[in-house]
Formats: sequence, C-alpha cells, structure tokens
Amino acid sequence: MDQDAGGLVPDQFTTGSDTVTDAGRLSPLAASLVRQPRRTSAWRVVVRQRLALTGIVLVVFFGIVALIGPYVAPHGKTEQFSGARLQPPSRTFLMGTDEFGRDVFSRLLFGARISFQVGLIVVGVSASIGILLGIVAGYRGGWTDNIISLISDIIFAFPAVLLAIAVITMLGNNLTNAILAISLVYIPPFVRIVRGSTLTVRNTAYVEAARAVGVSTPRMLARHIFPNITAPLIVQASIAFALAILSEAALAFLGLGNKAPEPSWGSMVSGSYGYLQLSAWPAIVPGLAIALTVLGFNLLGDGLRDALDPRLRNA
Amino acid sequence: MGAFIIRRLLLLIPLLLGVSIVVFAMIHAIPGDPTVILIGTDQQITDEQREAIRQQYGLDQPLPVQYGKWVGRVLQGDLGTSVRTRRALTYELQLRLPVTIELTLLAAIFGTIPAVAVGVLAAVRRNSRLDYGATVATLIGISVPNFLLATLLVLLFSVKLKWLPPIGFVPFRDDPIQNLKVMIMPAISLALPLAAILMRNTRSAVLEAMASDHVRVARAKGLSQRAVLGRHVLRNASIPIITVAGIQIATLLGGTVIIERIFSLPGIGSYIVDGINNRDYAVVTSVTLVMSTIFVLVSLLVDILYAVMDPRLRRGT
Repeated sequence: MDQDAGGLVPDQFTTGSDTVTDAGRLSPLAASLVRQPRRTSAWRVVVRQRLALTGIVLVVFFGIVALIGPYVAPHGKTEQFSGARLQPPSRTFLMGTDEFGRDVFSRLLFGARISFQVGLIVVGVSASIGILLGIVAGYRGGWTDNIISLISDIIFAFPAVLLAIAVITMLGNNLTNAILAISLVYIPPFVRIVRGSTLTVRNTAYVEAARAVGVSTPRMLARHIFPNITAPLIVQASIAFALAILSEAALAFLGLGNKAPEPSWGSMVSGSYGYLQLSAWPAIVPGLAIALTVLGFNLLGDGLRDALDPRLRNA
Repeated sequence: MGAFIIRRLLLLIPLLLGVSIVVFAMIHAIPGDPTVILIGTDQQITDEQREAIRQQYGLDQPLPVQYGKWVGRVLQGDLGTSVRTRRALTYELQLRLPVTIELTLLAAIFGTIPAVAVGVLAAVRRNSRLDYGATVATLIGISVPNFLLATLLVLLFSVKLKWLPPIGFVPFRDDPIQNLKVMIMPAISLALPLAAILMRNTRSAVLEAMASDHVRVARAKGLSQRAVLGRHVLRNASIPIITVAGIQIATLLGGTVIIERIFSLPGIGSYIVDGINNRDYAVVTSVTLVMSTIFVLVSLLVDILYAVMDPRLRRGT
C-alpha cells in the first residue's frame, strides 16, 4: 500500500500537491534534489472520482438492463431467424445475429439478468458465510481461529476455476450448482478480511468497555464489532460481484453451469467463437458486455475504497 | 528464518492433507457408484464383475481405510486409469503436463517483466500521463475476461492479419518456431490479469519504498536517481512484488483450463474439460489433485523465497 505522506504529515497537506508535502518535510536544498512530479495529486483525485463515477454509471446502466431487458428485447431469447444467420448489425438486428440466426441484442438483454443474478446470490452467500466465520475466528481466537483459518486456507489452495469445476462435477451441471460452486470459491477472501478487521477492533477500548459491562458475545459481535468492520467488506463485496460475474462467464464458456440455448454471456462467446471468420459480432459483443459490467464493479470498488478509507486516498 | 521456514513447512502437512481429503471426498461424492467412476459409465458389467472391482479397489472397506490406501497409491504415482484410453492417468498427465508448464512459464514471463517495468515507471513518474494510463490499463486488465482477449487476439492476428495460427499445437522439441507461434497468443491472454495486478502492486510497493526515510537520506546525500532507485528503492520494493508475482503465477494454473480449451492446446487444463465431457471422472479428480498440489507447493516456494530475501525475517525468529 502506498503510504507516502500518510501519517507523517497532517491530512490537509496530502490533499494538496506532492510538492507541498515533500517541501514541507525537507530542506529547500534537499527538496530541489527530489524529482518533482509534473502534476499535482489533486488532479489525481479528480481523475479517480471520474473513474468511480464511470463505475457507478456502468453498474447502474447494466443493472437497469438486467431489470427491464427481457421486457424491451425486440426478439425472443432463443427465437431463430433461419434466413438470417451471422448477419452484421442492421435495423432489425441491432447487434447482428449469431450462428443460429438469433438476435444478439435480445440475447444480450436476457443474459444481463443471469450475470446479475449470479453476482447477487454469490455475494450474498459467500459474504454471509464469510462474515460469520471470520468474525467468530477473529473474536474467539485460539483453536476456533486455527480451524476456521485452516479450512479457509484449504479452499484457497485450489485454483478458483478448478474448484468450481470440481464442485459442478460432484453436484451436477446446472446454473444453481455453478452459483453454489462460485460462492464456495469466494468465501475465503471474506473470512480473511473480516477476521483481520475483527482482530484490530477486538482490542479497542470500547470493546473492552462493552465486555466490562457484561455484553453477551452474540450482541458484542453484532452491535459492537460488526458495525466497525463494514468498510473493507463493502469494497470486497463490489470486487466479489465482479469476480462472480467473470467466473460464471468462464464456466459458461466451458459449457458448465448455463444450459445451452439460455443466453448467458459466457455461453454466447463460446458458441460463436468458432464462427469468428464469418462474423465477429456474436462473439465480441457479449464479451465486451462482460468486460464493461466487471469494469463497472471494479471501478466502483476502487472508488468505495478511496471514499471509505482516507489512508488509501493517494494510492 | 529457519524457524519461519520450518513453521511454513509444517503448515504444508494439514494443507496437503486437506486438499487430499477434499479430492478423495470428490471421488466418492461424484454421482453414482465409485465403480462407475473407476471403470466409466459406458461399460456394461455384471453384478459379479462389479463386486470384483469393488474388492480390487477395496471399496467394501470403511472410508478411512480406503482413504489411507488411496493416499498410498497416489504417493506411488498411481492416480488410476482413464476410461477413455485405458491407460494409466499418470502416463496421460505426463504427456500433457509439459504443455501446461510451458504455457504457464511463457505467461509468467509476459505477465511479470513488462508489468514490473511499467509499474516502476508509473511510480517514479507519479501522476504523469503514463501513471494514469497504467492505472486505467490495470483496471481494464482485471476486468476483461481472458477468453475475450483471446477472441480479440485471434480475430486480429489470425483472421485479419493471418500472422499467427489460431490452433495447431506442435511440441517445442519438434519445431520451436512453430511452437512459439502457436503459444504466443494463449500466453498473452493468460498473462493479462497477472500483469494488471502485478503492475498495480509494483507501483504501490515502489511508492512506499520511495517515501521511506532511508531513501530520503540517500537522496539528501546526493545520490543520482538511478542509484537511489537501484540500490535503495527497488531492493526494498522487490519483496512485496515477488510475493504478489508468486501468488499470481500460481493462479495462472487455473486460467489454463479456459485458455487451453480455446486454443486447443493438449495440456492438463483442456484435459479436465475433456474428462467432464466424456464422464471420465478419474481425469477430473486427478487433474484437480495435481494442480492443487502444484499450487500449494508454488505458494510454499514463494513464502520461503520471501523469508530468504527479507533480512528482517533472516535475523529475527
């Protein structure tokens, strides 16, 4: 993590230009030897805010698409126009047609719902389990902590895609099991983050005060610890949302999870990949949709990190 | 350092034990009778034959005993038999592992060297146009799915320019040039997220090192920018960079599944997908076991390297 100007100088200096902070700490001669950055970090703050705003716009845009997409789609999600295979974009088919003569635009609108559904459920499941395990591990310490951390490390010891593949092989190949598998993969990061934050909060004076007046453990965790560890959690939730969408798309690309005619964005790319030579539209368009949605959540996560943790503001 | 390495090695035992239990549980949790997994769903066998197989593989014994025997077999290099080819899986994996290792190594090279270079430059020229460009490139890099990058590369270099073949793997030994021509696009696609994450971490690590007191002293006594960077900044920044690079290179293994599939490379990544499609479940479990073991061992190596490089750990504990 970037810590220049962090801690050593009062905060008001860090939001100014780098030159001020450097000069403030060094003699004029020494300061002149430091290579001067060409632009101020205020400029950087503006850029970062613009990036965060872009993230919010992308997330909201694709969120709306997921909500209303199926109602505004001009064609059915599996409707085939056999006379119009692999067409370039036209007025009838806004983003062209795929190898079965299906409208790429309509399928894209339906597919947004699958991606968001996966993101929401995965973040919901893995965050709930991860928070519970992490907070107990961090607060109780000792053997409880050792066992929870070991289980978390074991899950972490499998490459993500591989673990998801293994779980789907065990449980059966459908979207529900894919969502379960992805949720399992993203539990350990939540456990680690919550455990770490709990460890720092556990030894603060107010927790000790609460313990002294005899607050019960569940109440302690829910009312005193949890509200103070939400900042890194919100950031992680946004990043996990992005990763969940990417994972579902990757699995669907391999033919896992999503069932064939259903328009998951990952399946759309893999189905049309073989026809790249004839038409690139049906493979590229859903791929870009995935990238933009994931980018949106990553930008949002970064922006939230900046907003919630002032120490990282210059990172 | 010795104590740290010993502690880290001791952690390896429960970790590998846990991984093996998960894989063993998989073998038993896969739908249907374990005999089906061992001999395949395509085979029609009589009940007597089934019973014979159960006894041969000790499936009539209690689970802990079976687990012990299974671990014993695995340690001797017996991973079972592929239903498809009727050959030992150890042999099948030996054929495919070099492809995956080559792909991972190439991706590691493409993903680390340029990323570290750009990351250092971005930190040194902080808030420059290059720095902003690098920040934006990082965000795009972690957001673009590797199969989209692969598709775009194939579209440009194979379909439009016709410079590189989209498929057609040949072993390096047979034709090095052709081999690299086939491997370059997969390696770049695989390297993208690694490069993005590494660039971001390099930038932060270098910035942190540049802000430390000893670097300020080095500058104050009049060392050149080059000397300050080389002797004081990069040496300190290299530890977190190597840690992140190590972890990321280990995760490349998982990505090979998709990339090998797209480019029809005969590595163990595409082999696991074949295994699922052919209901050759022993393939799935053995690849999972091999890949996670490599993953765990690489992470261990990274931690040991970290201990060797960090003088604080060397002197302490």
